[in-house]
Amino acid sequence: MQNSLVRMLGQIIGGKYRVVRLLGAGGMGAVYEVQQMDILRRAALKILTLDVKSQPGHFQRFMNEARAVNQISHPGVVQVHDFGVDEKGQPWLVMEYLEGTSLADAMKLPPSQSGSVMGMAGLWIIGELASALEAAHEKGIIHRDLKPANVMLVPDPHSPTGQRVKLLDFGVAKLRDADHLTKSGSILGTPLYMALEQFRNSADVDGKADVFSLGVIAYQLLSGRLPHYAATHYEIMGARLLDPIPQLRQLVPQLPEHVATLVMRMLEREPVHRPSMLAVDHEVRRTLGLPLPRKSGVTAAQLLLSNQDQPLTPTMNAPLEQGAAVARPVTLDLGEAQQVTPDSERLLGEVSPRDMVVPTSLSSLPSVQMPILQAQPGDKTESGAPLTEAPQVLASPSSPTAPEHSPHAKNGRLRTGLALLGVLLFSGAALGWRWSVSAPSTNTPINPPSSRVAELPTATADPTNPTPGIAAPDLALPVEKPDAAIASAALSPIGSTAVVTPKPTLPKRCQPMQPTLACVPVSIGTRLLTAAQRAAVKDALSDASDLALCPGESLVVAFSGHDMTIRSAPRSLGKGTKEVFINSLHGRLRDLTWRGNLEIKCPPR
Amino acid sequence: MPASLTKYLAVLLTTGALFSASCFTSAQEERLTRMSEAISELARHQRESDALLSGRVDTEVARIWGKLNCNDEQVRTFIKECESADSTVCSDSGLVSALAFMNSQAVVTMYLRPDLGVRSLQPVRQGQLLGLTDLRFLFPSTRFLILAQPRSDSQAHQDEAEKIGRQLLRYIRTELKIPPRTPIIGPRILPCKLKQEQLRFYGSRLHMPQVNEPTEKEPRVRLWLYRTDCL
Repeated sequence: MQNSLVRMLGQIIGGKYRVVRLLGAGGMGAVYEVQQMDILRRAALKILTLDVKSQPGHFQRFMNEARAVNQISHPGVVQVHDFGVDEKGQPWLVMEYLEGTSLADAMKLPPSQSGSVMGMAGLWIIGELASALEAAHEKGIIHRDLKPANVMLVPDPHSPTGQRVKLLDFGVAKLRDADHLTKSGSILGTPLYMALEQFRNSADVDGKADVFSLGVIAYQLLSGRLPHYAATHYEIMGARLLDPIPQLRQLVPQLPEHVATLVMRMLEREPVHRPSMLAVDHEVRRTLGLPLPRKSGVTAAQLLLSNQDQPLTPTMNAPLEQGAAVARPVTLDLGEAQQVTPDSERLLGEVSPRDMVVPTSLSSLPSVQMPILQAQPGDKTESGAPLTEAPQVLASPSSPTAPEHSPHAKNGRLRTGLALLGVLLFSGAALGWRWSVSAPSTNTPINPPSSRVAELPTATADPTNPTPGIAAPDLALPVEKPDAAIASAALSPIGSTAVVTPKPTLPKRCQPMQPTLACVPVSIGTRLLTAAQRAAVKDALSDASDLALCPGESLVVAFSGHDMTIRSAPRSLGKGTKEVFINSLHGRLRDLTWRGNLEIKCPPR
Repeated sequence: MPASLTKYLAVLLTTGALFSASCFTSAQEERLTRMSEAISELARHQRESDALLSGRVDTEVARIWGKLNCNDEQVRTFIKECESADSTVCSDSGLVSALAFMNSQAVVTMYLRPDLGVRSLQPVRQGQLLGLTDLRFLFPSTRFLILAQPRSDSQAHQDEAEKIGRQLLRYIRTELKIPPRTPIIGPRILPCKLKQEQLRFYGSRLHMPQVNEPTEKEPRVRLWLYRTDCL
């Protein structure tokens, strides 16, 4: 083995890379320093030394790495320039050459020593890692093997800290729609940094597993110890299951509370309780006084979705809304031009003119924040999606995620209260107006016998339906529209709506009808539905025999792999009706694994 | 020494040497065989030991999962007892009383036509079953329980209910790919007459007969499939 590794020296790989020296070797492969002969560029060449013919999965994983990092294209992720197979059939890839130390080595320096990354001095590393991982998650790539050994700290004179983080080894990364390599139930990753769900099934983890691993690194950086110590997979898994993680503030009392809270939330056992990587990135940036990056196309609603169980303090989204963020720094390889955005390279705490528009106090925040949150309960009950938790957090002052002492939380609750009051006042006014206008009219009765809610058999047939059928039309309808207006505002791009003013339009009465085949779209996303699939959707609608839609109303089903959830539906549809429909659809289209939305909407009669 | 004697001695020595060589080979072979047997025995012990350890670890992991995921002690006791077939807890009366508290667990109710059996499973139920048996919700502690309610208490109808319950079990294993490591208890047969009181928790829309499912007036077998992590 050693001989074959040495024999590589001086060889030309891929016709253009001369092997200069061996940088390291492991059980699966070796990394060499190479020189790209035509442009004299120094690079690192990673070659798989395992027998790929007998185990083609290794080849796939190797290629995975190349594909994953190229999809991400983030300065915090090591770049892969080339990929090939040598004459023996062994795959290789050429990466940018990194000079620096691994985070694992850097963590060995005691906190007192200059250059130590331990304690708050290392928080920037978490920020940069979160940014890189968020970019990966955005592309549907989960790293799954995040640990200090896979993080390089490379010198960067343009960086405020003099260093930059480079994330390595996407070899076991999970690529969206392409993770056929990981068998269900198999374990990939490094146990000490792995989330509990990754022990259970590495094939099924999402970005929250990376959040946990990053939380472990953060915990280690800030406290100098791991959340759990154990010798074997099983012991670590047992510890993850049973042993509470010691509170960071007990170990490091001087640690800012919001940082400790963030890290402890990243280490929550249930993925759903962990913040998103985007939220971690933003929280760390805010702590460090760094501007938030502009994310084109990210809406407030999306951010809320990604932060479903965040404390959701108004400051969380504020800089985004103001559009005050800057582009991420771009670092290119040696020999290429270097583009560095000045904002991203400022010293910590330094303020740029652009930052001046970033609201630093709650009073300067646009009032769009609270109505957005108010819109969430509706979404939650409609879809059953995790959206539901956001309003609960706000509604409950004693919630651990909304600490009582937090000024943000207090202000947030005040704003929530005001927004609620506003909605209620408006609803009352609308109700009164509606009453005064339509009560005398016999043409537009407030509660006509033909009204949709009154007609629905679910009102009485479905005991789980929380909306009683008797008075629902009167009470529910005037409130419905303002909520819907707020919800639509919440879904509009950030910055495009500063203040939500619900339109004083009242819902129109209609004769709801059972959706016909004409109401079923011909595609999900860009994928065309076959006639049989459309018929299946129609049949599923018929199975929910009381499912009826007014012209213009729509029922949106989100398809994601094998999952189907109702993303939005008219409020008049009972819980039972929606359950019957979605289960029937699931049963009929069980083999459909597309992603996208199916919008059932009936054309005007 | 006469030449004939020398020749005689040479023949004698050669014969002796050949004889002792064959003895040596045979002893070696015997020894090798014994060693090979000993190695096989050791390997078998090792396999048994590994299996034992692995079984203990699996049991322990399942127990831990069960402890964490179970939300109902009553269900835990019931399932534990019910897993041993001769238990009286899992008798008719035990099952009937369990109907009430088992409602705290994830459940799908189905109404099947006796002549068609599991072939009369409607898409709504198929969708529900897909959700209930989603591999993401299967932990080492997960168990399924099938309860079947026959159309009458006659032996023939009880057998019919059991047969349909077994069809459902096969459907879950083969169509829904529930791995063998996840136990499925039952089908256990309930009495045909259940009081309204016992079914009071099963009143929601999805517990009612769906489109194309047999109504109360038609011959039908009602089945419940529960998923529980109470171990």
